[in-house]
Amino acid sequence: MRFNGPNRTELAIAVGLISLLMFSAQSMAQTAATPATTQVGLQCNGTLLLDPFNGSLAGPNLPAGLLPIDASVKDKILKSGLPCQENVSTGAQGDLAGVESVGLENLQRGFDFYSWRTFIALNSPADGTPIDSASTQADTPTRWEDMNNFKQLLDVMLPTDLQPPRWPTDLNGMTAERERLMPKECRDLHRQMPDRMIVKMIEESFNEPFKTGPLIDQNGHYAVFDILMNRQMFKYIMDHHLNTKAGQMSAANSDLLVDFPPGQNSGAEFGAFMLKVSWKILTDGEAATKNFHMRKALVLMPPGADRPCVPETLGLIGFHAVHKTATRPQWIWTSFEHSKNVPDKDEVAAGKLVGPYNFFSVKCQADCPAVNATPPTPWDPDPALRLRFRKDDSFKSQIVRETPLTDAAKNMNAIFHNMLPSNSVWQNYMLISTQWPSEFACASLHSQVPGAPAPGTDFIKQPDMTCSPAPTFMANSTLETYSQGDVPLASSSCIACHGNAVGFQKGASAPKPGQMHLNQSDFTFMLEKAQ
Amino acid sequence: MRELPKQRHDDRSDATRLEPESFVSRRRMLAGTVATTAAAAVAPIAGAAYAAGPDVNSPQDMMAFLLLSAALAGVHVVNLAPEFSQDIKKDILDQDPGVDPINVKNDYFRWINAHDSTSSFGKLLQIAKDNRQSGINIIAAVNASDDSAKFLARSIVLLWYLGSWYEPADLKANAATPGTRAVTPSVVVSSKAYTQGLVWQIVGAHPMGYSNLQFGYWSRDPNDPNDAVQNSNFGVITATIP
Repeated sequence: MRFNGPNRTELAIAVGLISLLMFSAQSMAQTAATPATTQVGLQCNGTLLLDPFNGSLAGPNLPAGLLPIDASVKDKILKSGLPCQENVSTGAQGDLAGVESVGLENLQRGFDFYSWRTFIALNSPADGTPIDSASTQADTPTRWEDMNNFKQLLDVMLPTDLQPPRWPTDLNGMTAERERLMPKECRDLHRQMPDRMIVKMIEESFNEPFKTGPLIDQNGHYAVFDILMNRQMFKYIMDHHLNTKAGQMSAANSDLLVDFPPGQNSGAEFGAFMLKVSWKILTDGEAATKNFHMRKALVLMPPGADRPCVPETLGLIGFHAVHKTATRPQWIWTSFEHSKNVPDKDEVAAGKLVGPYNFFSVKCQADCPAVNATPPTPWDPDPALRLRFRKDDSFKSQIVRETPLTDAAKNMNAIFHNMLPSNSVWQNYMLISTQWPSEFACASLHSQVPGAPAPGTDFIKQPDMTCSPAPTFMANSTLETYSQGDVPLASSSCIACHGNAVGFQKGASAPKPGQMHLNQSDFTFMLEKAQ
Repeated sequence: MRELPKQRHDDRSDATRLEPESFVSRRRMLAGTVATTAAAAVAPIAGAAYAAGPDVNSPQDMMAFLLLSAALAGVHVVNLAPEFSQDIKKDILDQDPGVDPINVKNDYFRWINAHDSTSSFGKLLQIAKDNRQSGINIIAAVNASDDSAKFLARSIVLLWYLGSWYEPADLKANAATPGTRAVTPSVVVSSKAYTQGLVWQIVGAHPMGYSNLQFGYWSRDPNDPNDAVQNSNFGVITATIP
C-alpha cells in the first residue's frame, strides 16, 4: 500500500543531563524552623531513567526471578528524585527484556513507573533523607507537606482583605505568611500546638466532585480533602493576576489563554504541579497502628455561623499528583490510595475480603447502606459534631472499587513495595493507575503563531482537546467515590473532567467575528476558587 | 529479541516516528463511499473465498477490516486505529493494528461478525486483503460484489460514522423502495460507540450529552478538518477520537 500524505511534525525532546537529584528544603511542614532555606522549592531530575525491570508486567504474575530488586537498582530509583517529565515509549523499557507485547501497555508501564517515582520523591522525608532511611516514620513530614514546596489552594485564593498571597523564599518570610493567614478560630490552639498542619475546609473539602456527596469512614467521620500547588503554578497565577476574581475578569486578561508552564527534562524544568489529597480522621487506636502516613492537624471547619477549629490526627488515604509536561499538555494524572480503603467489587462478590477497610464493613450483614450509595442529606458538617457525620454514627459509607487495578499496576506496586523497607508506612499505598493523553500527535500540537508565549499549547484546533486519555476512566475510591465506572462523561476521567475547567475570564458569549473568548483554565479548577 | 515497532509515542530524542499517511485522498474515498452505497450490479467476488470465519484476534483480519473501513468511510486508517503505526518494510497485512484506550475497532469487528447473517463479512475482508494496495480497488471490488456484501459494506460505513447498526436487509429494502419508510431501524451499539461516531469529528460537533470539545468552542467558526493550512496539523481529520 502506498502512503503519500501530509507530514507530522516530529517532536524530539532533548534529554536533559542536569542531575539535580536531591532536595535541600528544610523540614518545616508548616512548622516554625530555624535556618533560612537556600533552595527555593522542589527541584526535579531531568536525567533519563527508564524502568529497568526484566520481564512483562502485564500478566497476572510477576516475572520469575524479578524480585528482590537488586540493591543498586533500588538505590538508584528510590533516590532518583522527582521526574521533570515522563520518559515513555511504545517499544521498550530500560531493560529490553522488559518489553510488553502491546505498545499501549509499554506506554502505560512507562507512566506508571513515572508515577511511582513521583510518589516516592514527594513522600520522602522533608529533611532530605531518603524514603528508605531507618529514621523515616509514619508521621515523618514529607516533601510535599513542606511549605517551601507546596502551598494550599486556600492560602492562594484568599478573601479580598487578605490579598495578595505571598510565598517568600526565606523561612522567616514563609513562617510570617503562615501566621498572617492563621484563621482566628485556630490561633489559640496554634499557640498551644504550633507544629500542627492547618487544614481549612470549604465545601470541596468534604463534598466530592460535582457535589456527589461526602465520604464517611467506618468510625462515622468525614473524609477531608485538600488541594495544593507548587511554586511554578503559584508564580503563573500571580504573574497573571489570577488569584482574584477581579484579576481574572480584568480587561488585561480577556484574551489570556491560560497555559501553565510545563515540566521538561531539558533544563530540568519542574513545571506546574498540583496535588489533591484525602485524609481520614484517625482514632488513637488507628494512629497507634502506624498504618497510615499521618499528620497532626488543626482542621478549620467549613464557613458558617460557628466555625470550630478542631485538633485531629489525619491519616493519608488518597493522593493525586498532577503534572503538566511539555509532551503531555493535558497533564499526567497519578492516583494513589491506601490499600485498605475499600475492596474490589469482584473481591466482594467472591467473598475474598481482607478487612478491616476504611470505607467498607465486612461485618455488615443487614441494614447496610447500599454499596457506593451517597449518604443521606444533609451533607454539611454540623459544627456541634465537629467532623462526625451523625451524632449516632448511623451512617457509614459502604464503598467498593468498581474497576479493579490492572495486573500491570498490581505488579508495579509489588515491585516498588519490594524496594521499600518492610516496615515502611508507604507499603500501605498503591498506585491505582496513571491517566495520560494517549494521542501523541494531538498532545504535541503547539501554536504556530509567532511569538505565542511558552509553552504555546494549542487546543483550539483539536476536535478533542483531551487527546484520548488512557485509561479512558480512572477513579480513586476516596476522591471520585461516586463517579466510578465506565459510562462516558458520567464516570470519572481526570482529563475529560478537568478539560471543562474554567475561570472567571470574560465568557465566550457573543464574541466579535473572528475573535475568541475562552475562559478555559488549562485543566485546573483552582481558578474557580478565586474570590 | 524481536524488532520493535515504530515509536509513535516516543518522547526520547533518538526516537524515530513513522506515521501512516493517506493512501487515497479523502475526496476520492468519499466518492467511493457513495458508489459503494449505491445499488449496483451483482458481480463475482474478487479473490479467494474466505474459508475461515473472521477473527478479531487475527492481526491480518483486523488490518483487512481497517483497510476496508478506511476505503469505505473515506478516512485514514489512523483515525480508526489511533495506535496503528506503519512499518514500511512490511506488508500492510502483516502490521500491528495496535491497541488504543478505546479500541472501538475491536468492538465493531465483533459486532459485525455477530450480526452478519449472510457470511459476507469474510468476503469483504478478503476483498480488502486482495486489494490492499489500493483503496480505489477495494471500493471497485465491493461495488462489484453481491448485494449481501454491498449492503453489509453500507452498514459498516454507518457504524463507523454513527456508532449505530443498521441491518443490511433494512438498508437493502430502503434502496429497493426509497422513501417508503419513515425511519430505518437502528441500534446504538454501545455507550462507547455513541461517543465515537466519525460524524462528530468531521463536523466539529458532539453527540447529545457528551463532549470533549474545548470550553467555548461554540464561539468560533467550525474547522474544516481537512484544511491542512488553517485548521489541522495533519491535513486529514485528526487521529483524535474522544
